[in-house]
Amino acid sequence: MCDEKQSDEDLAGKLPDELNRFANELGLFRVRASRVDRDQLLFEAGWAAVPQNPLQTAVVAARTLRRWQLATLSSSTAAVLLCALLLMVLADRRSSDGPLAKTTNGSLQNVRSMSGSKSSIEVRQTVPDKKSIDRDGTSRDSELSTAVAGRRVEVSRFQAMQLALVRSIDSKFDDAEIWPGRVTTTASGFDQTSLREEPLRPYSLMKGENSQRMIDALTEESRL
Amino acid sequence: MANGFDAAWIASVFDEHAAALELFAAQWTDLPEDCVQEAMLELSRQPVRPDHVAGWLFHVVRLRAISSHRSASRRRCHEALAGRLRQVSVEGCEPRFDADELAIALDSLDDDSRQAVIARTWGELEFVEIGELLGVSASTAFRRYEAGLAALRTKLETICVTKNNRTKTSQGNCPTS
Repeated sequence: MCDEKQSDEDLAGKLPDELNRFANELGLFRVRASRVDRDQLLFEAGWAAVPQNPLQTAVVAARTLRRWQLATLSSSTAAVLLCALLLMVLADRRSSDGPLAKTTNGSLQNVRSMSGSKSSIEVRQTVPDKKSIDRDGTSRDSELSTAVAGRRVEVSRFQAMQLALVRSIDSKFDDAEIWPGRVTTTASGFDQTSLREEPLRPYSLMKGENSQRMIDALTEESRL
Repeated sequence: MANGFDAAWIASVFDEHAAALELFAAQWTDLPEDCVQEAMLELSRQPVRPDHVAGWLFHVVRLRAISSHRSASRRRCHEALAGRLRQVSVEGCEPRFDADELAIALDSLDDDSRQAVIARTWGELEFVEIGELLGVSASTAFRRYEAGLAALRTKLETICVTKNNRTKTSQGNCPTS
C-alpha cells in the first residue's frame, strides 16, 4: 500500500506545471449527488442485508416463540411453528420489493393492517377461518382473545404468531420496544394481548425520514 | 467476522463517493443514479469489504453503466455531466469556463482519457486504481490522464476563444454553449 502511494506520488510529480495548474482549476468544480438517493440506498441496503443472515431471522423467530411462553405447546409443535414462520418470512421477502410491502399472503396482510391501524373494522375482518386453523394443526382452544381499540376479537394462535413476527421485524425501525409487558399469561394458560394502538408509519415515509434511525438500528443489528 | 455490511459505513462510503460515481456513470447512461445505487447495494452484500473500496465501486459502476447504456444522445450526455458539476467560488481563483463548457469539453475526449480524468480529478483514485479500472498499468493510466488533461485544456481554450469572439460580436452577455 505504501509502495502504491509512493508510486502514485511519483507519477503525479511527473505532470507538467501547466497541466498541474489546469488540474487545480478543474478542482474548482465539485460534484454533487442527491440526498434522497442516499436515504433510499440505506433503506434498501438494510433490507438487502437481512436475508443474508438466516441465523438472525431464526433468532428473531425464536425470541418471538419465547415471548409467547409456549405453555400449552409441545416442543415438536413449536418446532413446526418456527419452521413455518421462517418459510413465511423468506417467501414474503422473495415475493415483494420491500419488507411486507407487497405481500401476497392474505392472512399476513390482515395481520399487518391490524398491527398498523386503529380501525376496529379491519381487525374484525381478521377472524380466522376455522378450517384453516384445523389444517394448521392448531386446535380451536388455541384461539386468542385480543383487544384492539376497546374491542375484543378472536384470532388464531398462528395469526398471532405471524403478528408477533411482523412486529419483531418492524421493531428494527421503531424506537419503542414492541412488546414491553404486552403479553401476559392468564390462568387458563393463554395469552391476552393488547395491541399497540398507534399506527406504524408507512415504509414510504420511513424512506425519506428515518435514515439516521435506520443507520442506528442496522448498525446495532450488524453487531449481533 | 469481516462482514462487509455496516449501515454507518455504507452511508459514509456513499457520502464520500456517490457524487463522483454518478458523474463517472453519466458518461454512458442517462440514469447514473441507478448504477450507483446498484453498485452500493452490491457493496453492502459483499461478505468481505474490498481492499480499495473506491476503485471497486468505480469498476462496478463502470460495468453497470456500460451494460445499461441507453443510447443517450450526446446532448443528454452533456447535460448529465453538466448537471453534476457545480462551480465553487474561491476568492482570487476564478475558472475561465463554466460547468456547461467543461461538460462539452469532457464529452469530446476519447473514452479512456475521459475516464482517467474523471476518476482522478473527482473520484480521487490513485493511478494504480485507475489502471485496474481500465485494465492497464499505473503508468499507462497516468499517460492517459495526462493526455486527457492536455486535450481538455486545449478544447476549453478553444471554447473560451470562441466565447470571447461571440461576446465581442454581440457586445452583450456571453451565451453559454
